[in-house]
Amino acid sequence: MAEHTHAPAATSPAHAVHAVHDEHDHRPHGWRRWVYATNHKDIGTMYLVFAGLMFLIGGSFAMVIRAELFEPGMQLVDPQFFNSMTTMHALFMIFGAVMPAWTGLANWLIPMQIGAPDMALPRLNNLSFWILPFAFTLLFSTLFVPGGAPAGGWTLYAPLMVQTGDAFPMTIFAIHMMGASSILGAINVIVTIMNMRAKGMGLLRMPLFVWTWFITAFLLIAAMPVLAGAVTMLLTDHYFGTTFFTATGGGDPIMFQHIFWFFGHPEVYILILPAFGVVSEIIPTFSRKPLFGYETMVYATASIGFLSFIVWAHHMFVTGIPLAGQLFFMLSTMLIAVPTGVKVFNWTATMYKGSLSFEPPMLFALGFLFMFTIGGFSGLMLALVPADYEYHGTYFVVAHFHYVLVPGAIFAIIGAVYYWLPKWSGKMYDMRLATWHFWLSTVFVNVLFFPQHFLGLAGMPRRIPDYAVQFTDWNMVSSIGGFAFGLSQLLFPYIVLKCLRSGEPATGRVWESAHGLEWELPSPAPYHSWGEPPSEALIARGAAH
Amino acid sequence: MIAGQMRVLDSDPERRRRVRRTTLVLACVALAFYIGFIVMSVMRSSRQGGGAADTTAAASR
Repeated sequence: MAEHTHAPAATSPAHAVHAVHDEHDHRPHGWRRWVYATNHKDIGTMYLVFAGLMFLIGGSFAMVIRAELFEPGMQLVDPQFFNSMTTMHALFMIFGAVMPAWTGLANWLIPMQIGAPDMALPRLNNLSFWILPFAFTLLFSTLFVPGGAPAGGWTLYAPLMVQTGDAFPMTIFAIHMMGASSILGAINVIVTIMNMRAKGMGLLRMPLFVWTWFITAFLLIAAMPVLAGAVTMLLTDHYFGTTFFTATGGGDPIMFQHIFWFFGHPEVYILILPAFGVVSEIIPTFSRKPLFGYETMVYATASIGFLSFIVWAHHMFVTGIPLAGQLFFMLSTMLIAVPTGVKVFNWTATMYKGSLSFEPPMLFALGFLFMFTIGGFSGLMLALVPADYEYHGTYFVVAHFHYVLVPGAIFAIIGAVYYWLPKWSGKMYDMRLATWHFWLSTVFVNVLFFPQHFLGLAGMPRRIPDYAVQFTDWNMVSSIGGFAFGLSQLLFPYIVLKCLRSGEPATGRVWESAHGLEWELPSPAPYHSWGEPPSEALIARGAAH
Repeated sequence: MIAGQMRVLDSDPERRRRVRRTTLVLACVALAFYIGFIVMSVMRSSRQGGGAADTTAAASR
């Protein structure tokens, strides 16, 4: 149970120290606090608010898609605009919502969890955030230029993408800016973890969230520049007469797919590895047991990170790659199930014989565990070359990656906010409403995405605004699930705002079995935490894995 | 940032050097991936004849 009712904020010597520090807490006020922000908590908050906004915009694009697909025939939008919606929905959700949400959580949590006063490069941190609003304003404005927003899909496949109208250079520039922001953020995370850990915070004492982000940051540094390289070549193909990806000039469109997916597959793990970290923090707390197999979790994460770079061509089985290539990429893809299975079994073993309770963070973590596993299994089906020949380009693929990303990554983000919000704000949220949020989300996310498996297996292609009549029923069900899921997400900002306005005071530890340095700080966490590094005894207590 | 934080961040010149060194190494790695993939594509196109290197052919179309 949460200890959220009457206890005072400062309950340990460390709290007392920080209470004294609070008296010296000074922070800039007004707009300067945010525009010139160098404090990791302020920047983390800005990232999270930005991600929430992008989630709403990207979600509204999804509503247009589901409204058009509610029944066969063309109802609401023309096919070009429909394709723009699928493209923009993906770009906004991946680069605007999920990635910035993880960076926001990294900013809030990593310094507090490793006993550092701030990120190692605070000004770079400010720059990485402030690039994003410009990038997404530019991308959003493509909806209003002649030719409309990009419509070639988030994969930006050449030569289709090169045929985009006035939106083309704007999209490329926006993607470059997003990439630059992610790379700068990743550099900051690695430099912070390598150089700013408090004395006594050894690598194998770090919380799993820090570990997963550490590995994610390396993936970002290796993957994002590859996307930047690919879109740079698209740009030169369009404007400077090169033909990297144009067959008529001797170029190779398939090469774009190779380069894109060399970025694209690690990107999937960039979106999901921090979720593994969050779930590894939440489940032990609400099972009242240490995490089962901490070290194996670290090695499993590193293995997934490595394997993510040698599986990219499983997205391209139908392009006619040689048999040896198909076998290699099929087997390497299936190999990822091993470390992922280690994680799932470790979380299950953590809960085994634990004293479980089901507060909202735990509910979202369990939702993640069950439904991410469904996405993992359909991923294994897609890894099989002969089966992929059938599934490729169908709604089965759409169902697969949405199971990984929505009840996977997004449930973990929501669970993380419900877990740490009392620490950040010093206030408890309405647990009953948050529980409602979980159940509505869980029911409707399945109504939304599960029928898409059936549609895909029956042969419905993805990225089409119209379809044959035999697909009508499941599309209607899916659309109803989509509208209901979208509406139920409005509960989330309401719960957070209600908490900030009128939540009951939270204790320092918030959850009775929470372990980690951040829980040694008072709630709300002081504006400047760990100005004096934590003692080794405090670190040892927090690192009781 | 408050004085206490500045002290922690800046008082240790060795840590400052390490931070700078790690940042530069990581920036170089990112740059290498960016340039490396473009160079690889150019070389592949050149080997196959035409392609990206053949800008005159593309311009004359």
